[in-house]
Amino acid sequence: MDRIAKALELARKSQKPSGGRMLQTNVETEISYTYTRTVPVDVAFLRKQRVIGGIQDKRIVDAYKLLRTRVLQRMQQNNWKTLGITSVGEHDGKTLTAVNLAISIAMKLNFTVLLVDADMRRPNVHNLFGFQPALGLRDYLEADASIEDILVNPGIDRLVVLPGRGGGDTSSELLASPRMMDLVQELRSRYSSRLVIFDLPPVLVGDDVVAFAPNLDAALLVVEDNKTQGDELARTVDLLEGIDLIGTVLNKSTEENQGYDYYYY
Amino acid sequence: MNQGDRQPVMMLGDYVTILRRRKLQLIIPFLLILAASVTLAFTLPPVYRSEATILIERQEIPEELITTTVTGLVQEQIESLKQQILTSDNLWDIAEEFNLYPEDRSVENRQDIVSSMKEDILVAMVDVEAADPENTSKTSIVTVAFTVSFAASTPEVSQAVTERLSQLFMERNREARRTQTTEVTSFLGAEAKRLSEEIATYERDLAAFKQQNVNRLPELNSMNMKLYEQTELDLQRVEDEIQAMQTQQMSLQSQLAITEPYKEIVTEDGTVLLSDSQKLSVLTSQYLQATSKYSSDHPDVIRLRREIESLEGTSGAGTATDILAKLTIARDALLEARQTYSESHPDVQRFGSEVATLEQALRNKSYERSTGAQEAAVRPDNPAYVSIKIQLDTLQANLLASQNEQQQLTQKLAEYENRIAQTPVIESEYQALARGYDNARAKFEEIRGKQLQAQLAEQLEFGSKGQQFNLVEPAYLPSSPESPNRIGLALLGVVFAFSGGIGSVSLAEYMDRTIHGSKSLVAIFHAPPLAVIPVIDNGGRLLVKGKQRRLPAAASVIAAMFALGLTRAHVHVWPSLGA
Repeated sequence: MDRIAKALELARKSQKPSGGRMLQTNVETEISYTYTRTVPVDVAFLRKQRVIGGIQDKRIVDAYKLLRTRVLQRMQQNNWKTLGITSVGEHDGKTLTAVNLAISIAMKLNFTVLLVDADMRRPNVHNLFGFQPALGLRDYLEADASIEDILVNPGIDRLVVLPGRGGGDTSSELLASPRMMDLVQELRSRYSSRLVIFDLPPVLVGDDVVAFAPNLDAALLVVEDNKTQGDELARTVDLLEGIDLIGTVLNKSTEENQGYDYYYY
Repeated sequence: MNQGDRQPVMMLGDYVTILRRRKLQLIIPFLLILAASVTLAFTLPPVYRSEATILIERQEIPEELITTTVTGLVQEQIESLKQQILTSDNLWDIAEEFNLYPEDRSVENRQDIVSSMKEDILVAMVDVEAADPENTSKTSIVTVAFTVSFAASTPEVSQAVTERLSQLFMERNREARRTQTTEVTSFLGAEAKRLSEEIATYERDLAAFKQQNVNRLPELNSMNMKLYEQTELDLQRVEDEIQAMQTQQMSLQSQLAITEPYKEIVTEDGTVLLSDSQKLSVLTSQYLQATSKYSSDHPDVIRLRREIESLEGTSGAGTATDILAKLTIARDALLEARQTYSESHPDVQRFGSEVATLEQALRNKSYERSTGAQEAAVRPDNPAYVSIKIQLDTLQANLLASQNEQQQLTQKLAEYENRIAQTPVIESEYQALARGYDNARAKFEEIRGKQLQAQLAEQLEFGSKGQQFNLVEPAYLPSSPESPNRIGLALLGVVFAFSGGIGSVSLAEYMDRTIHGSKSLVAIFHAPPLAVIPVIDNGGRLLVKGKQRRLPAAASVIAAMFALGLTRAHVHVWPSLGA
């Protein structure tokens, strides 16, 4: 983390004369993204978006690291490659969790992460990184756009983003289409040490998550503390039945004691 | 927390979490209620209450001597006075006089004014627990005094109205007691008058009755009985006398009959001239002899008859001897009949009348003999005859007197008998009258006694010696307001504010169906969340810690404000309390 922060800081300084405050990717890993468009990312912008890289408070970063470690443990134990991240309702911090988890995993040197913005209703991943995608997942599924043209490197090593693009109301059909299935198959088989993280729409907004479920090895449910309704959560759990729920993330928590030992009776 | 299959046990930490989560729901109602109640406590207008104490003085003269006619317990009397004084008219007059409730007072809401005045007026008993003189283990509540108070917005008005009210109580009490005693006296007077009239009526009736039944009154019964017995004895004695006298009379008459009225006249030839009766008996025997020898128209028989008739003509229809004999028989029969039958029996009456007739005939005979013979013949000169004759005459006079007495006694006896027989008949009527009279008399005496008592009691009240009210503590000018209790209200406000805050938190918590903390997730998923991500601000810092620090800060600010408010109140609103 410190290393990346320093690197980011260095990059920001080096970019000053041009006024762009661009983040440059590391030269050694550039080979991995031969076909990938690299987008420079502003650190202050990341901080504003609460994305790791911009976060200064170590406890938050540690919390994401803990999440990363536990998710990876379970994924590796079951040899899972695809992880859907969803939530009960909107604005629960699902996308932020996906992004920060992806960044955290990418920071481990032996993992590459592909973050797919599968929320075709309100794609938001690119907003967190602060770029506007020319093409999105929808373009691949509907218009036969080349996947290489769509992938974006947000300026973080070992992290590639497959951004989404809004519009249209056929999101669930598209997500359940054979082309999508093929894409997932291809993505998970392209790199052995790659984890594919899907940023899914909220469970209760439509049938997208349920329709897409067969493509997922596991799912992670983001619950917003003090906002998510208990009965809605129960309905969500019912809908997610059959999917391996890797666990939950309590987001925007106001709990004072963040230690886990508190809950192990 | 509200969801899930199992309800996790709430721990102190959970409550702290809830309070932290809902600090606004706690603090805002707390501050609002506190502000409202403190404002209320310090803006409520002051109410001053003045109080007057009226001592109930027992009557000066012991009740054993004079009992007052004012009845009822002291509490009842005071309550009754209160009802008399706190009438709408009285209260309205007072309100007008002292200009109470100037903003609201109008004829339209007169009733409201009166009602609020009634609420502001307090009449309270001052009770003392006293040992019962008869039963020392028991105690009874004795009202020794009572207080009258009035609450108003200024001390002066409060004092003035209280003074007026206490005066009213004193005056009304005096008036009421006097009126009551006077009423009792006049009532008893009227009752006594009525009873005395009733007694007079009874007296008149009794007098008339007694007059009407003068000898038959039951109270004379025993006397009548005695008289009856006495009369009976007298009668018996008189009858005995009469009988004795009659016997004597008969013997005298027979003596007289055989005694010649005249001395024996011896003629020269030595024959003794016979008296008429000797002649008659000689003639009678000669006549009897002649009639056996001759027929009735024989000249001898006729001559003898003539002689006899001439001799007999002097002595009337029959001889005295015959009559006497007959009389004796008749009397015996009468006596016998009387022994057997009552006086009214026909036999007795018949014999009675026969005796009477014979006696009359005998008297006539004697008279004829004494007068007629006297005139016809010369006075008898035989001393024996004369002596017997005198005895006989005396006896006859006595006999006559005794017979008269007997008659009178018989009549009297009948009279007494009649009285005794009628007594029971009039007795009940007489008793009724007498009883009515006695009752009326007794009642009159009783009422009369009571009337005297009541007059005494009246004197007692009018002389102000009875139980009376004494204003021991006149209405004072209250120096500090009775209410509102500002500190109390403010403290109550704090309590309410806390309750309101806690209530609002509880309500919010109850209504809230959302997930709170990892515990809720444990309850649903039976596993803790993989990670707990705190709230991150846009500067990438934790928000939780910073917010936490505000709660104690806010609390201390409230506490400081409150303490300051109390201090100020202490200094400015209740200077007297501070002193």
